[in-house]
Amino acid sequence: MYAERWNLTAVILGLLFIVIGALFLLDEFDVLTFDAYYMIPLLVIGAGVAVLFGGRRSDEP
Amino acid sequence: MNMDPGRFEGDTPPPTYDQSQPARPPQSGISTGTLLLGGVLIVVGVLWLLQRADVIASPWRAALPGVLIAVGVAILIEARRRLDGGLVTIGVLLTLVLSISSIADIPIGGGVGDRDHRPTSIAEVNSPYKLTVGEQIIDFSAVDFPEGETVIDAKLGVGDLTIIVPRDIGVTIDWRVGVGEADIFDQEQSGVGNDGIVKRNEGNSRQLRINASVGLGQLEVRDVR
Repeated sequence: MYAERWNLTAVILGLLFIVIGALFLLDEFDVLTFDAYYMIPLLVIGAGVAVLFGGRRSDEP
Repeated sequence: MNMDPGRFEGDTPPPTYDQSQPARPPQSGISTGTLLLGGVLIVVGVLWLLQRADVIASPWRAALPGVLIAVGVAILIEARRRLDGGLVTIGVLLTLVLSISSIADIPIGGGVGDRDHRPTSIAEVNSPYKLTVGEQIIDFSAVDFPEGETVIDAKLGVGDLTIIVPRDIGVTIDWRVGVGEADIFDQEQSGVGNDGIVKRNEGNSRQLRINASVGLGQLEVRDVR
């Protein structure tokens, strides 16, 4: 059976962008208040996690 | 001896496939990035049309987070094969644009350029006055404001905003400047995150309240000279 090799960096960054977009969207519709001052540090943390896991593959034992 | 009547000796034999090695799933003819770009362009066009037709108000503040979510989904789909650097770049740029516009309170979709509004009657006052980037002058000196309170919103993202008010009425200025300078009736402030409320002629029966904000740049409110 062919095993798909997920790129973990892409998975983390994709999820990060989805979360960030959702936070901005919810803030726009006043569902919650989101302070954009936290955005740049969050992005840096996400990039760091993506780099840390970037060298690994999900199908590694 | 050649037993196959359709083949001749010396022909290249047909390729054989090793059934123990399953084939990779077929790749789509269109990349995720191209699919996303096309979809985003269609959505942007539809939103633009709806805004032009006054069906919806400015949709860009909600559209940009939507595009960012779509970029995230596209990166996840593409993650089965690789990390798409182009999509990541778009996602980072969108995040920065959204963050800066949110921090500096920049009105996305307000337009770019120089605006000079000089209404001569209350009917010509067209609040809110929004501009994303540029220079905006709003001169209310020729307007005969009615009894009671008139509320006007003026918002500029990046640039200079000048508001001129009549001398003979009460004025309340609720102002905010993200980064830059403010000059409210010759009271000057500069720096990051300044705001305040300035009132004048509070006892006047005609009151003008202006909510003014500049994300990055200069705000000036003064009397007619």
